Formats: sequence, C-alpha cells, structure tokens
Amino acid sequence: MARIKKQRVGIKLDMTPMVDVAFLLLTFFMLTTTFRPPEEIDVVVPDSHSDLRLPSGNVLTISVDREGHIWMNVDAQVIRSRLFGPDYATRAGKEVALDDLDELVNRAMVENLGLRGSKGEMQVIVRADRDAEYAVVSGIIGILQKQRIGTVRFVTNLEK
Amino acid sequence: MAELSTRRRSAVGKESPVRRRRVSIRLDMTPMVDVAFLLLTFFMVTTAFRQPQTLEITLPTEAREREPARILERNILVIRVDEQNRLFWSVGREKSGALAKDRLRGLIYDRSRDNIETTPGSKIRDRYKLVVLIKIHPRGKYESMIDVVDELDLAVEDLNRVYDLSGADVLSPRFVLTEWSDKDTDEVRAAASP
Repeated sequence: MARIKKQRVGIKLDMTPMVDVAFLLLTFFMLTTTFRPPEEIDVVVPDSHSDLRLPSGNVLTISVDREGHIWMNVDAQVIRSRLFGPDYATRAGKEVALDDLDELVNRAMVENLGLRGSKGEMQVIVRADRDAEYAVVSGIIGILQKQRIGTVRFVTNLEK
Repeated sequence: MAELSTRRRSAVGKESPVRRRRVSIRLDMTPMVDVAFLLLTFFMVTTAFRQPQTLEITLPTEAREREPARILERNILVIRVDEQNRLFWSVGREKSGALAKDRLRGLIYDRSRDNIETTPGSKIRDRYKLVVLIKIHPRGKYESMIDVVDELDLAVEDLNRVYDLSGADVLSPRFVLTEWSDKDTDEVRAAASP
C-alpha cells in the first residue's frame, strides 16, 4: 500500500513585531535605569509593614551602621557644603559624633529656612541598621525631640 | 550575514540586458535580536523601581517641657525588650510576663479590645484609651523598636477593620518610647526566671 506522505510545511514566522517590542522595552529600561551610587556606609534596614514612601527631596538623613557609627547627610548640596565644608558637596554625608549631632541638625534646619526657594521644613529620616544598638537610635530620637522635630521617618523594607 | 539573492529569470533575453537586475536583500537578524534580548534581560534584572519604604513616628515634645499626662494605670500596656531582645509585657504596674514575638500583635489586639469593651462611652474612638509604653534596653537591637511599633500599627489596623471604622472614627496607635531604668531590669529578671 502506498503511504500517503504528508507534505512537510515550513513555518515562516514574522518576527518583526516581537523584535520591535523588545527594542522598545530595551530602550525604556536603558533610559530609566539609574545605578545606585556607592553608599558610604553599609546599612541593612529592618522590615516593617508600612508602605509610606521615602520622600524624594528636602531630607536630612541620619544613618547608623551596625557598629553604631553615625553619618549625617542633607540632600541639598548647598547646605551640605556649608555644614561640612566644600569637600563634602559631592559626597554622601559625613561621619559625625552623637554629641555634635544636636548642633549640626539645628544648623541644617536654620540653613534650610534661610535658603532661597526652600521647600518648607526638612524631613528627618533615620536609616539605621537592624542590628544597631538601641541606645544610639534612642540618643538620636532624644536630640530630634530637643530640636522640636515632630515626625521622624525610619527607613524600612516593606515586609509582605 | 547579509546575502544577496537574485531572482532567476525564467525567460532569458526577454528583458533588455541594459536594465539592472532587481536585487532583494536578506538580512539575518538573529544575532542582533539575540544581543537585544540579552541587554533587555540585563536591564530588566538590574533596574530597581522600588524605593525604600519608611515607618513614620510622631515624637512628643520633651517631657520636662509639658504637663505630665494623667493616664489610668489600666490604660497602660507596657512592652519591654531586654538586651537579649526578649519581649515582656504588663498592664500598668502589674507583674510582667514573657511574650513570644509572634504573639505581640495578638496581645496588643486583645488588650485593646479589652480596653474598648470595658471603657464606658458611646463612640469607640472615645473608648479606646490604651497607650503602649515601649521600653527597650539600650543594648537591645534597634530592630526590636521597629518591630514593636510595626506590630502595634498592625493591631490597630485590625481593630479598625473589625469595628468597621472609617473617616474620623479611625483609631490611631498611641505609644510612648521611654527610657530603660534599673527597675525595668529587675522587673524583666523576675519575669524571666520561673
């Protein structure tokens, strides 16, 4: 019996739309990517369920690493160089002692108010390592209280 | 790899030999697409859209600047965290008890509920008087503080959901971070030893 041989059909797929989309996505991701600048200190923040976003500007950040070293940073370059000297204009903050923090925070707040085009009061953000000793954070909170800073935001990772 | 393919003419000599043959270009796009996908994958993986989240805490003014607040002892829930990051709880000046970390949210919820049910009044917001006093040992971890505040937030969220509160009736967590004293060390030691 003669077998009926099926004719092999070559599939031709038009890949053009797929490639178009791929390039579109590629361009998008290439343009939107910003590589994180190297951090001056290594901080592993604790988890919380709060989904409040970190404010994007006009912030005063106090970082604490796991050994309890304190770093202070202000995102406005002008204030930063006035506080720590012109060398710090391009750096991500300076290591400070807990005893000096009081005065520095006060000066930062005053400088911010005097700044032209100031966007209101600076937000204070504490970025402390999960394993840092509570005493350091407690000390910072005490200083902020003394400066009459009403709200403090603690940087946390969103826990699902 | 571009290749030129010429169409064979079936009838030779029909067209004028002066006219140039039409050439269709076939470009192999595969390597280009490969590279494109590779880059796409790379940027998709390395892009971080996520900004870190923050936990907001409202600080009271310094204790010596204000009138001491009068709170009934039964409205105070004390949460202590010792230097080994163990949790202890008590109501007012009652004896402390040890507490597992995963029970914290439930405890705050139960105590709050108890507080609301036993306080007279019409509106739930007015009946919720509980204040959580958080005491953390100076050598305890900072993470413990965030944990306690976070669990308190979640417990109050649960309360709002259970009582179906919205708008101006919504309950908000109330807590105070206070300093650790030697008394607390004794208290915790007594609770830890069976």
